[in-house]
Amino acid sequence: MVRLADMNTNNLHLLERKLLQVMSNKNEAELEDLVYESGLTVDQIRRSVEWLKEKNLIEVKMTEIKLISLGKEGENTKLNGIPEKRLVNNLKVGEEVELAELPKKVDLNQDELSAALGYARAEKWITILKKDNKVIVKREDKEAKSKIEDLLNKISGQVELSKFSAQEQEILRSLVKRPEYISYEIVKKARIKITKNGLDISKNIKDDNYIDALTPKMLESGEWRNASLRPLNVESPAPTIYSGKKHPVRIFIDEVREIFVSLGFQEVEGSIVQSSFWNFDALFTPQDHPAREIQDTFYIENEKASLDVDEQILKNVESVHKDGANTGSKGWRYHWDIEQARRMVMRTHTTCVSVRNLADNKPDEARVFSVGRVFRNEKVTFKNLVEFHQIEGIVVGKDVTLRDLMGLLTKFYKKLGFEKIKFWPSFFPYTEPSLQSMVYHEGLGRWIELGGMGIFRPEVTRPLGVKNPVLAWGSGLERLVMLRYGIDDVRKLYENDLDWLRGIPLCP
Amino acid sequence: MPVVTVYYDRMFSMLKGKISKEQLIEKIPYLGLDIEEENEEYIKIEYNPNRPDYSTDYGIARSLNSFLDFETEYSKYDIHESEFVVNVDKSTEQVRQYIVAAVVKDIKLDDETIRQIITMQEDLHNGIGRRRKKVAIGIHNLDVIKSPLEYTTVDESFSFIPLNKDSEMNVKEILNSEIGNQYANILSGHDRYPIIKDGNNQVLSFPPIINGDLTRLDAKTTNLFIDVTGTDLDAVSNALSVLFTTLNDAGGKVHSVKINFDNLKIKTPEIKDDTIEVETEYAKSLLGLELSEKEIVEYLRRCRISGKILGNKIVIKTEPFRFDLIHPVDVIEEIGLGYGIHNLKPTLPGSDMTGGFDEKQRFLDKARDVLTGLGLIEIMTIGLISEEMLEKSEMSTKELLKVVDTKSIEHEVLKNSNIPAILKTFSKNIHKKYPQRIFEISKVFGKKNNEIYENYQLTVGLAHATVNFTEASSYLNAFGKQLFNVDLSTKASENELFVKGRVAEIIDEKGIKIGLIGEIKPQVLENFALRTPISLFDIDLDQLMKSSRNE
Repeated sequence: MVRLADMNTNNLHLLERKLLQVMSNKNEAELEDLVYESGLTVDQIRRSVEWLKEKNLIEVKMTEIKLISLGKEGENTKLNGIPEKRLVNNLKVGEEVELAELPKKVDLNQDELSAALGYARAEKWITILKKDNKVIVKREDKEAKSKIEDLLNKISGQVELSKFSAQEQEILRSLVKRPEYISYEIVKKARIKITKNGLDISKNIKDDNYIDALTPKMLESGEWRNASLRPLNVESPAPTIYSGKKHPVRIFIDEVREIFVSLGFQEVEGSIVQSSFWNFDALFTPQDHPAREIQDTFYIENEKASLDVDEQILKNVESVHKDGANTGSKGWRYHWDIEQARRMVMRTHTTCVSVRNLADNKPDEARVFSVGRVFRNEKVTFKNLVEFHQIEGIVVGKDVTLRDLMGLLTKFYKKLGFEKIKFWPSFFPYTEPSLQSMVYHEGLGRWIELGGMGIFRPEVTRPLGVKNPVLAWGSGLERLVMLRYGIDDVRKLYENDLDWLRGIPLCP
Repeated sequence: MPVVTVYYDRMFSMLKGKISKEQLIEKIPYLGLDIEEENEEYIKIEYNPNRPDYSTDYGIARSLNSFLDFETEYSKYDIHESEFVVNVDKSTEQVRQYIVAAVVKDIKLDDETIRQIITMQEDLHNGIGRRRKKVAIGIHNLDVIKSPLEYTTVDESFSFIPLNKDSEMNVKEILNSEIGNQYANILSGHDRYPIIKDGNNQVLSFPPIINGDLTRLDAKTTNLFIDVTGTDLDAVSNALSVLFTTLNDAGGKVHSVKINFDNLKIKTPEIKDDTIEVETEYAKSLLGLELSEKEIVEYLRRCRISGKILGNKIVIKTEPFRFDLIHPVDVIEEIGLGYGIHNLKPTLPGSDMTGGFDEKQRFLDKARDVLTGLGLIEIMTIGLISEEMLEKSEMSTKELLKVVDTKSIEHEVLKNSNIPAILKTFSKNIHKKYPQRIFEISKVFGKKNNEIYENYQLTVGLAHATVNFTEASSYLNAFGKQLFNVDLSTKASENELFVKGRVAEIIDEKGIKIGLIGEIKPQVLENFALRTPISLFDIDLDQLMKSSRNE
């Protein structure tokens, strides 16, 4: 609470000052009523009301208001007249009609008719009698005048209940019995009242010679010399703005790329649509391997690759599948079909990019990496997407070893923030020996499985003309991004919820 | 990956040494096996499909016994002679050429053993059997079968009582039944169907569909006849190797069967005397370990591989189910396993190299820098979209690249433009704060001169109450200027997606069209339930890059 003695009008925000000035003339008002006179927006008024309340310069009283409006039947009646009147308007005074015949005479449905009969009888516009075992309705001699109709005609849109006379309110209450005539809504309204302190202070407002904002004109004319800029409430919150930003997955990709480069790797990129030759055959994946089935892999309809590949490489790959060629392997021992190799696929891994790079450059020594999109024909769930990113690195060298691969990976994951890593044996069709890695996630307090790795089989590298061993590792990227941002549904990454994208800090 | 359930009590009775549950769970991954699930009674173990011998607890126990040094000498597999013969009719060559068989006697089949055998059979069907196409297995009660058997073909009217049925069905009916339907595609296009009959003309099996009811197994069965049929002699022999070695370990006595093909007589199962030679230097350099020949032989022994030192080479022999070893590197991995992968200390490669970024990616990085500097937010979307998205955007669905048999209708074509994804993103964010200014840089796909192309496309989308062509144009100019100091000009054009008279082609300094800019027409906004105007432009970044390099 701020004491009055400390209160100086100069400490008041521009908005507070405006509002106090308006309130000093009004004493009491509703929030919406102040818009016009103050020239402020409802939001601005709300904010300054909060501040002034805090300083004990105004009071806020919440009141409940009952609003009424016409329901579906109410509107209908306003348009066509009240049913009991529509009933008797069709009957001459003294006329008697058999009840069963009534529907033919009047334009009312069964529900409306039975209600209308009740109300008309209560108004004594009709009587109902029995003659010869028949029920007869008789029009009495009394003018049919309806106060309800008159009242309904007065209502359009939402009207405050208190605006009606006591008698009208009585009628409105009676309409509760008629479904969907009137609907009620209770709203809370803030009534604002200036306090005595507020009133005192407001008197000082007009008298100071502070200016609210510096203008170019004042600077030009030198007018600023005779004025002081009013101090602002520099502790109050300001409206939100957002910075332009890369996508969180992109930010992470860039981080991974930087780590690779710092470890001496050269970035490469390649096509997403690949021939089966590069995606599978060059990786020594036999043509009847389950990974090649359409249940798992996206093939492109009616597209065949021309396979514009070095003739020698084609031959080498064919024979390594058949009998191992001169690689020291037994091969897969089957008939290799070049037509299968021509089928176009959405690449299932970025390994095809690495392998093409090897085929093009036949390096004796190299470190190459790529981060790119890969595709699997899967149902989309919180765990699986049809499309995701793969990180991949390869190292070619005369003396590189399995232990070197473990060392590089340890370094790589350390740079990503994982201190503890462990390895165990695994299997991949195109590497041997093959390993799997696990890192310890401090936040989760458990080990998580990350990537696979190994040394490319000679059946992969020799046909391409690469003589030295090639270390390779690959890992999914989204899993790591999810850990970074604490997300447990992978779909969220590509939903592009703007609140999420705007809210993510660059250094989480 | 396939999974095998291993009960502790059975496992401990198969192991020839003492080990606690905890130690068991710790050691299993060192064999290259993953523990999927564990509880009081059993563990579920995932194995790699190149090792179908791990499809039962017998196989896992076998490996553990040697790996943990509970067993250092391995008994050979004895194969006895049997009187059983299978005569193969030449007609089978057209439909399912190969058959191998074995007889296993004196085996006790309790419920769990039967369950393990059935899982093994299924895993073999799905793995090396390629869903029974390449390999199918029948296991029969030997005692009701009379030799010689015949592997022949029949037409679709041939009938017999299939497994678990009480009356005869003909081949056609079986293929149309629920079970037949699953595998009927393997035989489609044929009018003769493979059948195995015995000396009394009774049907054992209609491979790869179903067995006959006659030879059904039950808990009293002690003698088995196993047939393996398929399209590849290696594959059927390999499957039989896994089967007979496992049944041998389960206590059965394995007997051979004579198979008489039209021009070839063999006896199966057969133990081949294949060897692989591994240069010790190669092994040492790949693993990065200084090992003596003796050590190598010892580590191989742990993996049940016998190695003999021969000069600077090790000559190895393996058990019949190790057909996964096809190259010396496979043996080198086994040396690593025997040494213990967990005992390998990481090192770093000796040579140092300088890394670098890909030139194109570097360019895209800079493009993103300019765009985020202009206050835009990057979005990333999936490159496979639905045709419906393109239709909603009133964009062409011609010349699209489609994927075959997608599991999700939302992902059926390769996107030829980022625009539908930009509109969808705006549509999903109608309750979020405006102005919304976003961009995407992503590959788009299509065909030109019958060749598939994929280009990086930039699309910038601007959405707020007063957005218009001019604002989009300002962003476009800024992009060209800040990135390359080029003036991108606009030339009036027409396009279904945009308001008439408010759309233009974007032309680079060489006069090449590199994109479109305009205000999205209201009908398209309505299609996406959008209530805010949108202006956007897109640019073929590959073309822009080429132009800037003066190509």
